[in-house]
Formats: sequence, structure tokens, C-alpha cells
Amino acid sequence: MGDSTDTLVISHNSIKTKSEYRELIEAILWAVLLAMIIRTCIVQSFKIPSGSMEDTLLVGDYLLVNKFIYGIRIPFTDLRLPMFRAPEHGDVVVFKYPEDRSKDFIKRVIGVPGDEIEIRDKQVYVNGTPYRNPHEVHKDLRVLSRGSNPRDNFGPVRVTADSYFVMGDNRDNSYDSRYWGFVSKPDLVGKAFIKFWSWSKDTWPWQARWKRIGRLIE
Amino acid sequence: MNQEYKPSSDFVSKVMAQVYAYEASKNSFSEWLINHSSIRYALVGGGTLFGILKAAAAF
Repeated sequence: MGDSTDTLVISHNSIKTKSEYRELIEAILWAVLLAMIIRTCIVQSFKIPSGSMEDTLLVGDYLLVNKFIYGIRIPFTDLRLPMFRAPEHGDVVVFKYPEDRSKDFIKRVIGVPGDEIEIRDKQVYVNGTPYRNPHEVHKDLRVLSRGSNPRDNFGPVRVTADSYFVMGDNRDNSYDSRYWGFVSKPDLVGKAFIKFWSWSKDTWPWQARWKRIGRLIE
Repeated sequence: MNQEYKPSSDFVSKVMAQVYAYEASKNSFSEWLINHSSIRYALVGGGTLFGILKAAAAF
């Protein structure tokens, strides 16, 4: 009698334990699978560690990027599903840095395929017409000569097919297409559209910048 | 001693078997958490949300 009770208790427990582990592993696998699908196809989050997009994006901002608007990229391939629309002037885009594709960059689209881009004394010209984005800022009053640096005097260059000319909103402190060339279409990751969190790390403890949270990126 | 109340020779082993069975049937807090379907859904949802919001740097 005593032996049979022990046997029953042990077998019952082993079944229950196995089931619980299975449930836990299933929950974890579902979470990983769902997160991977959503990050690959729908939306991915990024944080801003540099000031090249100030004042649109500050260091400590966290944002969501639309992954499907320019065509969903099929993982482990260079293939893309058809895009909803092509990148336009003024879009804030995340892309693979052409000189090191393990890094992601975020900049604003200034030139689309076929555009002629020129910068004269900090003023950007697109197809010969002055182009001024309301979000651009200049924090250095000096104008660098054409020979010394492409920052303030550049081009003209024509944007090739399936490529984009991008610049940071912080024009005097941005490492962008002026220095390393165009972004090719396959390197586009997505379009930044909302800031979902923002830390000011200037002071300790870090302060949340509540007014920036939930703001659309224009 | 009244023979009617005299314990049987295997009384202790029977009681101990019941004690062990009771202890073994008790769930720990973590088991109780995992056993609830709503907790499992919350685990999936929370894990998914964490995976989505885990931010990469964009320079």
C-alpha cells in the first residue's frame, strides 16, 4: 500500500514538472518568434547615441522605425518585398552605414535618384533650387572652404539610380553623404516615425524628457 | 492501554507517507505562477514587448 502511494506521488510529480517546463519553454519561444517577426517586418526600436540629428533627435531619445514602408527586407537575403512608397525628401531614415554595415545610421533624405545636390556656403541646393528643411540647424558660424572640408561647400553631384543623398539635421556636426557618398536602396532599414521614450543623461539620476515622448518625427 | 486505540504496527509509515504525499502535492510560488494561463500570456506578451523595444543604436 505504502509503496504504491509513493510510486503514484513520484510519477504524478514528474509528469507535472515536465509539463510546466514545456509550458515555460513554449512561452519563451513564442515571445522570441513574435518579437523577431515584428522587429523584422513591422517595427523596430532604436536609440540615439550621437548629436548628428539635433534638434530633431537628441542623445537619449528612443524611437520606432517603420520597417515595411520601403519594402520588407527578407532576412539573410538582399531581397525585398514591394515598397509602399519610395523615400521622399525630408524623410528621416535608418540605414546600414555603407562603410560598415554592422552599424545603423539615421539621417534625413535630401536627394532622391536623379536629383542634383550642391552645397554653397552651408546652403543646400536641390536641382538648382535652395532647399531648406525647417528642422536643420547650424551651430558653427564658420564657413569651411571647399578644399579643406565638404561640410559647407560640396558638389554638385547627381544622385544615381536606387541611391539617396542623406544629411543630419545638425549640419555642422554630422558625418553623412557629404563625406561617404550615397545610401543604396538595399541598405535602407526603415523610416523613423515616433519617439517613444527620451532620457536626459546630463544629470544623475537621469531625467525623462516627458514633452518629447510620443512626438512624431517630421 | 485500551486495545481499541492501539496503533497498528505500520501506523508511523502510513502517516509519513501521507505527509510526504501532501508536501509533494504543494506547489511552489513559481509553479503556481506558471500554472496560470494568464501568467503565461503575460510572459509571452512581456517578452515580445521587451524584444521589440530592445533598442539598437542609430548614429
